[in-house]
Amino acid sequence: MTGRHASTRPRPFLLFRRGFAAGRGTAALLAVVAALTCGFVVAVPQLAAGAGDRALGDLVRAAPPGARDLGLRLVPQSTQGVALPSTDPGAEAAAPFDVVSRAVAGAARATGARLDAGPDLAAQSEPMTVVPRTRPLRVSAAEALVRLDDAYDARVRWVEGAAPGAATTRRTLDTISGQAHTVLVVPVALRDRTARTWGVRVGDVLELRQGSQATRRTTPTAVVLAGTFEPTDADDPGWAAEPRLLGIAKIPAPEGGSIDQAALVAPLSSYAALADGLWRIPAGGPIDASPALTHTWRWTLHPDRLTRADVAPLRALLVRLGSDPAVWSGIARRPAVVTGLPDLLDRYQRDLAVTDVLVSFVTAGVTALAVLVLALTALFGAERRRDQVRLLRLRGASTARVLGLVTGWTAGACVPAALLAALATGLLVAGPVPGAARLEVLAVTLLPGLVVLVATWLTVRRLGEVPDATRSLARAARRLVLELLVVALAVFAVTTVRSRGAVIVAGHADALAAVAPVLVALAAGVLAVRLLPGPLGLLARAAERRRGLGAFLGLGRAARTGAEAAVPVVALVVGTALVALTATVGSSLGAQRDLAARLAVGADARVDAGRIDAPDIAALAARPGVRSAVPAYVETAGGIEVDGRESLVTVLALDPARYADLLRDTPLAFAPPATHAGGGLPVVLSGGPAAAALGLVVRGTTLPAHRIATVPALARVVSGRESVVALVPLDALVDALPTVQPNTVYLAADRDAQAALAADAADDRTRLGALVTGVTTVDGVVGQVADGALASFVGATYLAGSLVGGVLTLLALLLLLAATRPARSQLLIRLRTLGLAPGSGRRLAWSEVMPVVVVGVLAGAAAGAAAPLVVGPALDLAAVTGAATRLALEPHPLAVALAAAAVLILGASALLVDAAATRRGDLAQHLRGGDTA
Amino acid sequence: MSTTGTTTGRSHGSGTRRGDGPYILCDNLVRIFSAEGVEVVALQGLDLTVEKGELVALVGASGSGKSTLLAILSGLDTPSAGVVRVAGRDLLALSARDRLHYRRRTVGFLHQQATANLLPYLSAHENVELPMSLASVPRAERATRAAETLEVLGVADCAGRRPHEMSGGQQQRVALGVALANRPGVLLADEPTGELDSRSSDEVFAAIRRANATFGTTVLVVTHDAHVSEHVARTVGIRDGRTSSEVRRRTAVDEHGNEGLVAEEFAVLDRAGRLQLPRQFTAALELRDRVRLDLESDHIGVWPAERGEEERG
Repeated sequence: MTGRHASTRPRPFLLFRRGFAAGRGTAALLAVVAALTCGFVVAVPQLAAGAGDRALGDLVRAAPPGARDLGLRLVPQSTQGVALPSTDPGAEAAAPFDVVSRAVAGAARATGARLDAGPDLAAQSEPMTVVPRTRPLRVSAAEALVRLDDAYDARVRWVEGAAPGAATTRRTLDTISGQAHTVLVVPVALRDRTARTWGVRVGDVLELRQGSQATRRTTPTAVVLAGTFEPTDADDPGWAAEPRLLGIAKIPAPEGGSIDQAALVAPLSSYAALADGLWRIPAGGPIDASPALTHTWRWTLHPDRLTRADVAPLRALLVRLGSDPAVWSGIARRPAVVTGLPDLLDRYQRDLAVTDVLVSFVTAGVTALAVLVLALTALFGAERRRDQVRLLRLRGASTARVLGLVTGWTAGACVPAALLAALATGLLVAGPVPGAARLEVLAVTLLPGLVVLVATWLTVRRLGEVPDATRSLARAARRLVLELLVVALAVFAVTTVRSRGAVIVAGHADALAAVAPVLVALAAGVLAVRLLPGPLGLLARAAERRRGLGAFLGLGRAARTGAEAAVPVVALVVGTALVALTATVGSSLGAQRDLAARLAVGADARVDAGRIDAPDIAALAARPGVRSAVPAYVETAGGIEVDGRESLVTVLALDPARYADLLRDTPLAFAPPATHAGGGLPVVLSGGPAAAALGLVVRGTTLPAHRIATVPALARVVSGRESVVALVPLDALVDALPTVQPNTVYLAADRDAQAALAADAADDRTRLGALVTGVTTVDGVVGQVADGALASFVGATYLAGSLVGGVLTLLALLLLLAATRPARSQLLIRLRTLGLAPGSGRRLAWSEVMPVVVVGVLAGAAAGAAAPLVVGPALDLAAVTGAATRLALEPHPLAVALAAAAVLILGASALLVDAAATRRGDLAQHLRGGDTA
Repeated sequence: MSTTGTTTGRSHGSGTRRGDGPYILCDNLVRIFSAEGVEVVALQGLDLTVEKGELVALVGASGSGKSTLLAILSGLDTPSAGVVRVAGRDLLALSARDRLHYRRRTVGFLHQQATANLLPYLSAHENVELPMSLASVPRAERATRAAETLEVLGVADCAGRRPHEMSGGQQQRVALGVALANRPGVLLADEPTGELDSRSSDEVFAAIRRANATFGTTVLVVTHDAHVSEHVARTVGIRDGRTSSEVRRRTAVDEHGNEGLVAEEFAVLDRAGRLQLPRQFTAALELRDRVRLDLESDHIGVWPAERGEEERG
């Protein structure tokens, strides 16, 4: 034997290895597609988990302080009925802070809840009437509460005096009934601005007597002003616990006018002294917490440290604190849990569920499309090995061996690549891999091999078989059954999703909802393949009457599109539907975010102020890019009164005509109703009671008014909730209530002007007006929402889904061309012998393939356009648009049209690539093609 | 050329007895296909017998049923009716397992296109080893037998080459080696020289004869190549799905003592008494539609209907 490689050494899997290597091009394509798809479907839920973790931080960060902290509040019950004045020393009250803190820490340990900081402890009295003993106040009536809190010291700078220390001096006060009451004078501090307003100075002694709104009967006590301060950062959320530490609240006085209310602050070490003054425990009495003080605990959650894993323990802790008596054993009175966390956690989980549903559309779509493309590639490879299968079978290979070999050649590429990519992604990207992703990986890994297995089995069965009409009939019947099955599944999915939409929206992820768009696209694909011959046959007949053979032949061949083109066409339909759906959701997100932002802002931009004067309004209107400026008085806590019942509304007082003009060509546009005569102020309501006569409550004053119209488009979002708006002409309101002054300016401004306004406000908002408190712009709100963890993740996922869908669709198109190329080449060779002009081949390819592509794209676009209607009931875009109320997904014809156009361009590109590939084929292939024609 | 009628042998035995009757037996073989609503009768009661070790050429026009017959004999297709027995095996009674064994051990198949006979990514030696591997021949024996086969076929120097590194003739001889690797009793060759030049064709046919002589393989070769068909002892013609004629060649010594090749063409008389007259005979005598038969003591006369009437008249 003289052969170069003839050897008798064992060569295991020789046939497999050599066969695999011979089809390495197809294998590489299979491996790349499988790896990319598996990487995508594993990474997306993992990244979603990360985004979900960050989203909890976003929610906590955006929530008002009371809603995002865990707070406890305790007002101990008195054991002696009422507070009694006394000149005798009493027993020292014991603050309940330690015992409660220990109980909460124990409960947190038991539930695994992590509380990042705290507790911040405080005790404070009710507001009490301030009676100056050193000098008279500059205000007619003042009330002050005393807050015992150690945390403020780090947040202030002392303007006069120093931080208050321990109470050392005693003073005997007279009660209203003339009894003497000896108390320790508690050193306190007051904001310097408040002190100046009231006309008090450091060293002044103030008597504090029961206030106008007191709920507990306390005895008088005395404080001395030890220092005045200014906050180092007035926006520090720590001040939110008691806003009256920084400002003066105005409350209506029973006898008319208003009373100033402010807060004095003292260290917790003054607890016993203050408690003794307000509610003395007789000597020998039971030592307890003071019933005159409200005790608060506040644990802060750090937004950056919170993750999804904290949700369940936090919920468990809240439940335990609220309902488990064992936690509070040994504590006389259980503190009330004061927190907005349950609502916040509910919303968080709803947002996560919506995100999961949104993301599942993309992963399911990409998986289905990838499986189709992989199956197509595998079938293409198997078709090229048909002769080898025949030969192996002829040489005596068993069916199992042939199936094993051909399937192995496919699976040998697909399975390792898919599993390695899934494993690597799982390890490299942090986050859990959910069961659905594992199933999708399994589908990508196994289905192509399974398809090849079945195809090869059919090939083996049909070896040596000559076309047989009875068998063709059976095959046609099987195909029809399969098609009907797909359509029935799609109908079932659609009806199920539509009937269960509300349940899915509420946070129950549904596999059927995830695959519903894919099933609809598959059904559309199946119908397209079935109906394709009809219109194309008509076009072919029309082309027959025209000059030139190319169009007629191409259309005629397209009309007879066989089984080899069925899978590519279905893949094309699914790909187009996926791209159309992602485009629809993408544009919906943009539009809905814009709408949500406009509902919150009220115009392109809004400037809020304590009061805004005419020169400031003129300056705002003159800014570059600002088209219009409308001053308004806005009161978010206004009301309307109908039949003695008051409901909360946002009072919007401005010039309705100018405001309507400012909102023209925006989603908030409305037509100002004509004013007609009636009793009182003419009011336009966005909703609420239907009564014509009503009272408009502005600044605590009820003004007679009458409803002239209801304009739902005026509804606005205030503090994250939809609010009924009462629009009233500003001049009429000023006439009725002269103290009203504009505190808001609505602006129509372009994007640059919005950015400049926001920048100026961030830099120094007083440049916009002395009392300006903030600037809100639509772009700013949209950017804030879009930058949120879940919103940016969904946006990125849909963008990636579009790209992957586009690439896979292009592959499907190339495979469609490859599948039909041999028959086209043979026809071309025959036609050339009949004198077909050079260059006609390209026309033949275009007229044969493009009509199929167009029909596939149209079917896919129809499925993509219908998808929002299918899955709409199961979707709530509020989570990723910042909307206050549920927003449904709506069809966007323009987005679908653009997606379809993009796929058509891909089709044309595929034809160009195919033409280039055909030109680059080697000479021998061309010659052989001619030989076998 | 004289034409003599002959009657096909028939076996009435049942089952799969070996060594009983002809090595290949086709009796009243019928194969009907249905395509686009039209039934096509590819074989219309074909009769054929081939003895063990014979080398028989099958000739016939395109569509006459040659390839269908080969597909049935190779175990890839099954007839609609009739009897087909190869090496004592009734192909209609084979189970799937037996059919697989039959394809591995009993028949070897050689296609017209060399590329359809060989796996492109295996060397000649590996290609020859493949059927043995499928038939679970021990590894050591595989190598030896493959080398021996290639040696006999004259392509031992191609053992390490892959198909694209060989000429068409070499490819077809290696393919012949693949078909003979398991030493099958029957070699079925479908136009084995159809794509080759005359020199390569001679080499391949010589290799087939060598294999026939060396391994005792019964060979049934479908061919259009007159060069091939004239060099076999027996050529069977197939027409319209039936064996129509048969040419037997033998060496004879004439009255001058000279040795020469004598070819006798026989018409085939089937079990139903049907006889296909050679086309050139019917054309020469303008036999059409009806003929007159006269039974004589030692033969049957066939006359044009008109002539017979004239003579009688």
